[in-house]
Amino acid sequence: MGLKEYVLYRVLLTPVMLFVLLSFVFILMRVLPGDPITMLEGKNIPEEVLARRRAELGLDKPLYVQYFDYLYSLFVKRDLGETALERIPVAYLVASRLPATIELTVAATLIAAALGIALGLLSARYQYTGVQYFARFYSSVVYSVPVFYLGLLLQAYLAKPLGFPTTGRLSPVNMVAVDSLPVRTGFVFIDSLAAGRLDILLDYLAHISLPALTLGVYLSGVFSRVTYLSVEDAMSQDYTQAARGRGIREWTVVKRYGLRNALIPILTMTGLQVAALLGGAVLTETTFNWEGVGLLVYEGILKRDYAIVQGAVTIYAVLVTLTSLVVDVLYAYVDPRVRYE
Amino acid sequence: MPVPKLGKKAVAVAVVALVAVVAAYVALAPKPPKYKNVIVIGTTDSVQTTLDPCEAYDYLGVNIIQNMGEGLFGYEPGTAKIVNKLAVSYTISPDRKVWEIKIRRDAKFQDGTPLTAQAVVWSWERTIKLNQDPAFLIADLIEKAEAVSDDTIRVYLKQPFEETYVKSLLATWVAFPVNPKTTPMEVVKPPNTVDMIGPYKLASWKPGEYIELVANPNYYGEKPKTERIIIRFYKDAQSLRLAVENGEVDVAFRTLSPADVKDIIAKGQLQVVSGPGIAPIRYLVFNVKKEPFNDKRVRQAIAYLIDRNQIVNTVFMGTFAQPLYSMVPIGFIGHKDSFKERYGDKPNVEAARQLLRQAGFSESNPLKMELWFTPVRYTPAEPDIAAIIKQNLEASGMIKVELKSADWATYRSLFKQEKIAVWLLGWFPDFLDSDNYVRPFYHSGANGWLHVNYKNPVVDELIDKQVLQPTEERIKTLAQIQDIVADDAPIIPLWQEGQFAVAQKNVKGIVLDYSQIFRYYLIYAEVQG
Repeated sequence: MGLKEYVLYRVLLTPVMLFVLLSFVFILMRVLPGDPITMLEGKNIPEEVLARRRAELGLDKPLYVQYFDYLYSLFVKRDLGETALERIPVAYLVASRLPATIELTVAATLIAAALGIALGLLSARYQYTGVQYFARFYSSVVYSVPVFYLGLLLQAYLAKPLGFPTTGRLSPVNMVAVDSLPVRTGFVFIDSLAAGRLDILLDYLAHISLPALTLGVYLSGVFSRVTYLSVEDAMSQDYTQAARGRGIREWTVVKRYGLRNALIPILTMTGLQVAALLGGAVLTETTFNWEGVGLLVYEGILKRDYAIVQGAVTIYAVLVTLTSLVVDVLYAYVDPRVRYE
Repeated sequence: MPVPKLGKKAVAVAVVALVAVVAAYVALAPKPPKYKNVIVIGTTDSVQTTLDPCEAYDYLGVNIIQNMGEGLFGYEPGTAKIVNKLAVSYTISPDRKVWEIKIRRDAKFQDGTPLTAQAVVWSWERTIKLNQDPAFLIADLIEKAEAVSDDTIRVYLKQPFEETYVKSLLATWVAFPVNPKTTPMEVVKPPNTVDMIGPYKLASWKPGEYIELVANPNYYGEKPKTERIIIRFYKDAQSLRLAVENGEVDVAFRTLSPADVKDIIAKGQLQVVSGPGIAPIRYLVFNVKKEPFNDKRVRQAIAYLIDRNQIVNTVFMGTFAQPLYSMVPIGFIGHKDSFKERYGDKPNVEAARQLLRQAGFSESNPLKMELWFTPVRYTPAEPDIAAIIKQNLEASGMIKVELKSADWATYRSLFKQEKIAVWLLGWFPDFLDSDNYVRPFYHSGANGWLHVNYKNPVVDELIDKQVLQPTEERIKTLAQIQDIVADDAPIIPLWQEGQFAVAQKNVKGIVLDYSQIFRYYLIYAEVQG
């Protein structure tokens, strides 16, 4: 398969994957007992009022009609719908929550990369010593601990002694203040900087520390392993031996020959980790009351609000599939062997 | 010109004296107290629908509306007394079917438009016409309303209802006047509300994150001490507790777990304000169609076994709840401890065993049952409560209980589809009247939502009768109803929940009372300087 065919194949496959995923979520939500109107029940609201509310949401129609309505509204009208009870456009909700998720994932990726690459390099440099054993142990432990549990541990043992806030993106007063700043991209980091509000920025940094650290530590294990393996591979090559033979210091060799060669797999892996990253973000957001798309999905599931869950998952799915498409294509471009597999 | 020596001294003395006087004045003069201009209230509640009074029907949404609006009648803070609010006076026709109500002339909407009788009538008509979730609260009451003059409303009732019953319905948020000039003829969408007459108005609302209220400059009544109120939503009790302990919120109201509150009291860094438990009640429901709970003796045996005091003392530390022996809570008109009279206030194992034996159960053939609860909707202590009830019932030696739980949506569909037979529920009143504690549960024409399947024609008739009777007779009828349903025991009342708020120490003015309205406009925080 040539590059062109490969790209075409991947591009055509993407909507199919999306379609399958969205259908799966649609069915999954309907299989769960209860519907969005359940939240209103348990009060003596007249049955005819509840029935009317169901009809307004189209919940009285047969399932297959609801399914086609959903697909029609998504693909033809490009409308994610409205929440069941409050009737807020889901697109607005997702758009207002997306920056929080992006902030968290970017910060976590930076932490994961910094921690993971450092550990990977150290264990390549100090092979078969305590350092390497520690790194291997660390990598397998952090990746196997559930991320929400890691979050709870950090909350319990780090937040209290160090005085870090554990809930939300900002303290409530600043939360309101940031929405009235002159520049509003939704990214607190940018908005507070643009307005020169260092107090808000510091408050934000205090709030993001623990959730970013949780997700970052969780992902750093993979970074550490990939870095170690790539560096080790490079270190056994002839050109590295030659460099050593020329008397270049070991650390310089590791950094110049090992790390440079490891960068491509690390970058690829980062791309491939997007799905894991976003999945981890859902749990981290829930643990830390971080108002991102993940928390929105969680709330949507509890409320059985089909539109919220489907809308948020659609956006997630688009993000994940597009990223993996870009990564795949780039990778195929860089490494022709991929295309023929 | 050289200054004489004495003159220099005199100047020095004068300066020192002046400084001393000013310093003394500054130090001793009474300083006006300073208040924080913003109070942050944290909660795990959420606004489920809108902030339009014609549609809102969840605790928080309604409570916010109660801080942004007012009705013709309302409750005096700290008491259960219904007082005139936007109404000045009223007369009732001899046949009790026509009310003529005079309203205040100095009340204005947020935009400065004066309140008129026409506006009140228009608001009611809008609510009835839009027929949203809580509309029946006034739609079932009012036949017709008309503005006789700018400040007089004539209300024709559907039936000659009792006086406090009518006033308590007109005090509900559903009957709050809204500004006809700015209110659309459809339900408003979030993040928005409608213009009402109240101490606060909506400043901003980010769904799922926060709601910000600011003092309404056109309010006729006393201005709130706190200019801004921010209501911050938390996902669960754990996050809320962390937030109040970290000082991110000034007041945490609804809902921390009783165990958390106990911890907080022990640490002593925050204050815990509690109020009477009255409106939110908790109870156990049987589907009386399902075997063996279709047998009255089985239900009665269970009523004999439940130890309300144990629940209240161990789970709620005896402070945040009190045992309840009738679905009509203590403090409401006609309340009677019928369950206490019928079954006592301590478990009576012998009486229960006798009934169970009559119903065909024994130690070797125990009654096997599932007890269902939902862990998220009510108190976080729900699993502990279910465990105590299990222990109570199993003490008989003739019952084996399996505890089961599900999230609210699943739980709701389980009892709606009548797949379960015994389950725990809670009730928040729609309006503060005993009728709202008997009709939705026991009247066969109104209790369909509960799936208890209880139908007793005598009870139905008595429930219909009591709202039309003069107060004295009504009390007697209510007592009669409570006695009958205590004997039938389709529902077992368990406890009425106390209310509590956890606040920073400088926060004052938290009033938790029978009305269940959390009044933001009374809360303030003193600050140094």
